[in-house]
Amino acid sequence: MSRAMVDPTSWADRAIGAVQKLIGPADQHLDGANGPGRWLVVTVYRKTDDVQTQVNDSGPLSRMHGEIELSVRPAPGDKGTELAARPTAPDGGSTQMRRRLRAALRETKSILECGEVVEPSRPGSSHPGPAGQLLRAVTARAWGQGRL
Amino acid sequence: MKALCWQGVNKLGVERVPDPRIQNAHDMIVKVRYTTSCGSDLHLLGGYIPAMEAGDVIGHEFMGEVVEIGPQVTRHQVGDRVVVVSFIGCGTCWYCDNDLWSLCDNTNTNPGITQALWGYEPGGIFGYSHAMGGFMGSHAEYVRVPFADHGAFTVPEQVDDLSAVFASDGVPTGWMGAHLGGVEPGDTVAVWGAGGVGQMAARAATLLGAEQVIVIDRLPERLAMTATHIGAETLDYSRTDVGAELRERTGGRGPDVCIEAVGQEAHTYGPEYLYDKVKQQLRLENDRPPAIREAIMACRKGGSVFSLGVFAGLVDKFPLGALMNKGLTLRGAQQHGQRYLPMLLDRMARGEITTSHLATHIMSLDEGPRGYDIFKNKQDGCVRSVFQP
Repeated sequence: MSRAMVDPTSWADRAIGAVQKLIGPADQHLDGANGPGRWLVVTVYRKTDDVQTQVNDSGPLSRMHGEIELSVRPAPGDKGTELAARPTAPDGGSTQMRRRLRAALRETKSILECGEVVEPSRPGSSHPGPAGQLLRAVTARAWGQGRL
Repeated sequence: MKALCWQGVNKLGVERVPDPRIQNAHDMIVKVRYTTSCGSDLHLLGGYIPAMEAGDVIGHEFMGEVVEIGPQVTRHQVGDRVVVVSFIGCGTCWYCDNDLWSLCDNTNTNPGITQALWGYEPGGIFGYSHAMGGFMGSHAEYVRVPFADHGAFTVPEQVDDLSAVFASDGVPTGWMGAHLGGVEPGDTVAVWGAGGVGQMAARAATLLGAEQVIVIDRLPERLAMTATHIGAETLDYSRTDVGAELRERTGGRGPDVCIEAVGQEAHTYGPEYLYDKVKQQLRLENDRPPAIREAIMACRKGGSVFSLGVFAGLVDKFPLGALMNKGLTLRGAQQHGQRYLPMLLDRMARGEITTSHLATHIMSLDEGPRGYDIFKNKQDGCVRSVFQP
């Protein structure tokens, strides 16, 4: 069997896509959640000035300057600040690029709200078999996946 | 250290695993004194919760002694006797600040999985798969506690260790069901499930002023325990029609608040059970919901149904028409324990909430697989298997 057929990383992307297609078809339009022009957004429970300062400084998003455009605006009510980002690439950016962007947004939010990004248990205790290896490949991507 | 690990569907084993360490500044390490089984662990055991890997440490309800603190932990010190809430909350996101702790925005390290399943991700929890944070569980000698200032609570002197372990999850879960279910003085409350959580929900309903509390189950020892320790009325669904009995006991109105404390592997009798069981085994239906279907049908018009039992996916034959046309409020949640623990520990210290009777089987962690076997099969009157590492 070829390496490509057993490569858990490619199967992981297919698995995530399959779950999304099964579970979330009702609110996906023709361009899906990742079409060109679609913003990825988090709401940060902090004042707008604090968010803008973090974004301008050497935070996770600063490493993507030039690849993305950003928007910072107050959230309604008492919810803080809406921080939006999207790739500047005309095609909406590659899957990997959007994954990096989601991760950067989540890290920015976590740093602003609690001063750190909590880690899962490391080194952990699991010793997965083949199915578990596939799962591990899925979870390895899950920080940058999802519906942002 | 040794720990009780998931090794596959319906397979547990005690393994040697790495000791936890301080990874984040707000972490704390707790040496476990007691850790208890929970009905929701059975969903992990049975393979109904996604994202488990062989070797994952299970368990999410525990108490013990602080042995190490991270540089930004301020509310605890080495030597403190603490109980730790099963769900992990950062304390500073909008959800935590609004007392919705199990919905924390910052403690699920793999949000993509549950976003795909549920639209948005809940917070992280100890020992409950990589979809819920990937945190090693509490059936171990030591546990790393993230955001310890918010999740760990000093146990009052008047509360012994064995009683305190149930404040980690069972007591606050039950309280939340009654509180957010809207129990008011004079209410009639029905609780499906006489396990640890159901009993605590019934006790909470009484303390919140309910005038009549009825607990429904089929296991005689659990019904007897409820009558003795909680003081609620009981109803054996293997011997009577639940809907008719509730109607009779409530003057034809139905209960004001119905709390479901059974979860996705509910049991019932008749073709409904066979239907759900077959579809679940074929993975055409994720969960078995007879208890919550019954609660919705039994609830009085304009009443409230609260789902405490853990569910993971999709169900069939859900009485949405009854829900809508009777004007019911349906709500559910994983527990927001941080919201309630100070008050609950005070009540436990005053003797208003007693829990040690739930620990029907206490054993060494080495006997973990046997402990879960008797817990899962409800043998020997088991309500909770409690482990001492």
